Amino acid sequence: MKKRRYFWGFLKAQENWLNKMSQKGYRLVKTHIGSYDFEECEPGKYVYAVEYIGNKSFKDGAEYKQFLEDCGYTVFYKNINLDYSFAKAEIRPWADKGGRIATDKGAHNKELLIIEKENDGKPFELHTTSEDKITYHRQLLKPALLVSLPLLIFGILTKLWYVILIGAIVAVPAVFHIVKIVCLKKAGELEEQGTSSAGYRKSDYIILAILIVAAVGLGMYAGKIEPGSFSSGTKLGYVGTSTTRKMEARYSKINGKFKQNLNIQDGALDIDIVTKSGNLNVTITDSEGNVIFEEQLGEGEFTYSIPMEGKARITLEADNHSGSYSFQ
Amino acid sequence: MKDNVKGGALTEVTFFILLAVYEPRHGYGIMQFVEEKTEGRLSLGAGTLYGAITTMLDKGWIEPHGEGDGRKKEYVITATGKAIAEKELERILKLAETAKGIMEV
Repeated sequence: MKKRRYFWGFLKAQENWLNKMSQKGYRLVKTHIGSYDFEECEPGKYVYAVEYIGNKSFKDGAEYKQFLEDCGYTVFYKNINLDYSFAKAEIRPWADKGGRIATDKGAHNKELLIIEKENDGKPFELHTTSEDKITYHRQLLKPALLVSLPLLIFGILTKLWYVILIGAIVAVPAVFHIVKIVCLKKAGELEEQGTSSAGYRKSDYIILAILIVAAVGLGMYAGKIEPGSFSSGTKLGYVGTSTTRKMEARYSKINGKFKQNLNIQDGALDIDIVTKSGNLNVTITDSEGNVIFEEQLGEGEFTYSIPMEGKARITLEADNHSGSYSFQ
Repeated sequence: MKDNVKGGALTEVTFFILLAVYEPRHGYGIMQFVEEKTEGRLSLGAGTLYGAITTMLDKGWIEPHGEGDGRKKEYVITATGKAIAEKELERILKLAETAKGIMEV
């Protein structure tokens, strides 16, 4: 039986799913990039653990796999769907030396190990000391952060909400691992009161600080967006600011439809538009939905001042428009 | 499993692994040894054991035993490892003696 599943870096979810399959009487026999093959077995006969080895070089990973097999476990390779992939090589800047560039022949698509053992009633734990667990979670934290932070930063800078969303989703495991590390450290200190020499690492605080800054930035940005703003266009070489009072931008090209609400408080809405090439349709409606301004602007420089007060809904329809606009 | 030593003492897991390889044992054998000798109190995960073996190989406390020609890899304690284990035993005996003197048992 073949099953398709993607877990996007959520290892625990994958582990739980495999264990559930075993409870239902299905045992893993083979893994593929996007799917798993099962055969029927006695329900609950096997238990599974999923382990990240993407930080190891191919040789180290293979050695570890061999070690686990020597311990009597059945071991499968699996891909993680969480790396930057460039053609056939992957770059993993977070990995140990020797594991940083994975080629197709080696560790590519072998970032995970799925380990199966016969159920002996005891929990299946590969990592049993808190120190070792911390090391393991640290290794997992790195890729999650290195994928999610650039996505979040890029998303916030370009204001593409779906990039922010993907970044936020990938950040979930990162937060999970940070929480785990902090909890394990607390537990470890209780175990060896007073004698602990395992100090806190500076990098843990730095990582936490970066995440907090990212979260605060995200919150501030989200607070700044007007609920009415909307865009379904593309922007090239775009530099602009938009607040509730004014919006202005310069760009080499925009295309598509953009909407934004402004709150006019000084009695007039001033418009400046420069068209180097292309067309820009400007439509402005007031809070009741009446159209108060509508122009199709070709090449040239245009300045308007519209007497008004309160909410103005601005709709821009750009057809390869190059130049700038300013509404305030 | 970076630190085998904590405040001058070996961690319990490290000491048990050293004891296990006084005669050559493979990974699974070490896990069984620890479980048996502690009557299940201390259970050693394969991932943790692998990390510990790797660091102890690096430190020269243990070494691979025999020609791993397709057979399971075995490990055995080195002279350095034995010296470390002996020092640890001495520390534990001294601690026990001090405790006995104070607690009068």
